[in-house]
Amino acid sequence: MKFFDSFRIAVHNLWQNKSRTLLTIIIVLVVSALIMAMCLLGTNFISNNDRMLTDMLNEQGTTYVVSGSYDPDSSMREYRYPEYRQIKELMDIARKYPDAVDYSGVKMWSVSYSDESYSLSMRSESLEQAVMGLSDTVVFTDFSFPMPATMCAAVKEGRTWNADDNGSYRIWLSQDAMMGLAKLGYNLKLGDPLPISFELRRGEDKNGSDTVSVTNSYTLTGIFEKAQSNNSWQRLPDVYISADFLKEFIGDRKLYVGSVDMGFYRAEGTYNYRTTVNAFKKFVDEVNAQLGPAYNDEGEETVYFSNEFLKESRMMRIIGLVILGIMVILAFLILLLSIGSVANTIIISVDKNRKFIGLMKAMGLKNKGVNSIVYKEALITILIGVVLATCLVLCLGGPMTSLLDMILGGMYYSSEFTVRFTVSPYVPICTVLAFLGMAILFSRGSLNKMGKADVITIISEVA
Amino acid sequence: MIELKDVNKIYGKGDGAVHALKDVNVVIEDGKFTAILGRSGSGKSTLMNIIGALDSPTSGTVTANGKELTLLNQNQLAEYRNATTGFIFQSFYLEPTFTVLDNVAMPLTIKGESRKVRERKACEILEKLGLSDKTYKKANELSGGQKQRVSIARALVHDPEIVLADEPTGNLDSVNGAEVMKLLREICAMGKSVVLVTHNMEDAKNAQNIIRITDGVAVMENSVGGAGK
Repeated sequence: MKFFDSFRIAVHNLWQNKSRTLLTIIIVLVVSALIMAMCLLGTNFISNNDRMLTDMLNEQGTTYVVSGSYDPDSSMREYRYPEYRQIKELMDIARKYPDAVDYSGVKMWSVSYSDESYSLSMRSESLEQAVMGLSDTVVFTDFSFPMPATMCAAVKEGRTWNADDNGSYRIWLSQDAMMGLAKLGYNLKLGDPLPISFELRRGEDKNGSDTVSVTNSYTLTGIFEKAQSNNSWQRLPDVYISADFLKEFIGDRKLYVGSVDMGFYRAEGTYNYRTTVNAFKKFVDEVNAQLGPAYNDEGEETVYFSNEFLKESRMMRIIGLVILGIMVILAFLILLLSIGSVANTIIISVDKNRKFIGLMKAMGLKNKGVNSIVYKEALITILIGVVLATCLVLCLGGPMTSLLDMILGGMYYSSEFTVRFTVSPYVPICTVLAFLGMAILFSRGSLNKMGKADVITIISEVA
Repeated sequence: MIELKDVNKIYGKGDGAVHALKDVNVVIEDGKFTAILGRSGSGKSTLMNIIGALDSPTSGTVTANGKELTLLNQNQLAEYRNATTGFIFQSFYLEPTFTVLDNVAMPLTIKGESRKVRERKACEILEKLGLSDKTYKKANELSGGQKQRVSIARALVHDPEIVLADEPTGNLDSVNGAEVMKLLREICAMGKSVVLVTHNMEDAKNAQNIIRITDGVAVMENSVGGAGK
């Protein structure tokens, strides 16, 4: 039998049983609308979450944190930060994630804890006071970074940092630093040398026998304007120099780094939220795999390296997924509870049309042909119901959005929590398939029974 | 030719089983009018159903033109019926809400013929049977005699080799009944095999071969009368 003919017969059968058809359509409509509403609420929750997280990322950016570790084997539970060598490894990994890292460096003051109590300090013979004041904002950079204007360096004079500056003795100072130096009587200009000394001193070394120092002459290569930071706790660096020389200077001495100055901070629209968050995760995972496990004071395994945005947003993301999961389960349960009515439509149709089905089988219609007609009847009612439900959801979308905005906006973060009733095509398609699939599943028994019965038995029963 | 060999049909199991056909050996010859004659409950309808592949025997073989029908599955039997067999039932079995045209064209619709072809063939057969003016009427608007003629048209529209009629005059008055028997003779004269199930001896006299069946036991006879006269 041709597709159109079985379709025509299906429509004819539905038309002959108008009240049953209408009731089934109404049930499908109501259930579909409920399912769509639940899916919409769930997905809107997720997208609202994403929107808030994106806003958070746009406004504040994010930073990476290096924590220390307790020694699980030590009775004294010594707390130790990663070694400087490990931080260099971290920096090497960071180069592979330009989507996750905008700036990276180590502040001078953090390179100070050592196994043998070495501390690293910086001073300048000629600029001692000025440099001492700046020392805690010096950042050792270990790789080429773009100096994004959003973070620190709209270079006003000279040039920006490039890869050739790794290992060089060039220095970049902020305009604030230049003003500070000028007040002290040091009027530097581009190309001027600036000698800076570095000293490694062991804490207990009173006579200086275990102290080493080196003096490098840095050429002023650029003067930059520090960007405004939204984070009051974040002190932007005033000085950039390459830390390559420290490899040799520190040698085998163990120095531990208490923190890194590393983060992500870009203007809205210049990055893709999902790609960036995935890059955060991959970067953090790779660094922690490299650094190995850390331990808390109870000896439990934790990590050295983390991303603040991921930590803060984790709970929000989990809640969003849980809500979506609950909505999907509820939608599935509603579907399951209602499926009996659609399956019944098939079963009743088969029963009511036994004579007709038997007659057509007598004339040569195969079981597949019978099933095709019956399933088309189900599909037509389901399609009509789902399409009407979709139209209903779309028509009511506007008023419902306003109502929900009012109710939920006040409940959820007191911010603009919105529900948009825009129906993705996947939802009605999946609803139709779910209804049809379950209707077929629940009515298979009845159709199989009809299929196995002898033709004349069917006709005779009715006669 | 359709041949039944040692066919038995048993309904039910155990003490409640009904042995409707017992070791039936009959032949339905091509192009002949065969009547299956017996009282109510003798097993004649069961025999017709097995001949027409509407039912399958409990044991024995049914062979049609060399093909053993008992070895075919449900789908193959359905194909066989659609290609070779036309049925006329006592209760007509027309779909009341379909038009006469749709009812008559049903075997061709099932076969998958195009709408144009099946409507043409259905109209031709309706014209032959004097029902052209009823083409687009609903089946439930017809009289008993008209319904049976529509039923006959449906049985012929796909040019079957054999037409099986189960008590076709049972629900008709004598005039309409005679008309139906005349049509059956004409169908046989066209070269088709006709099998008539009846309890009426007068109707059976139209046949060339008679199969008498009593309590499931069938005996073949050649009739003196029959189609062709």
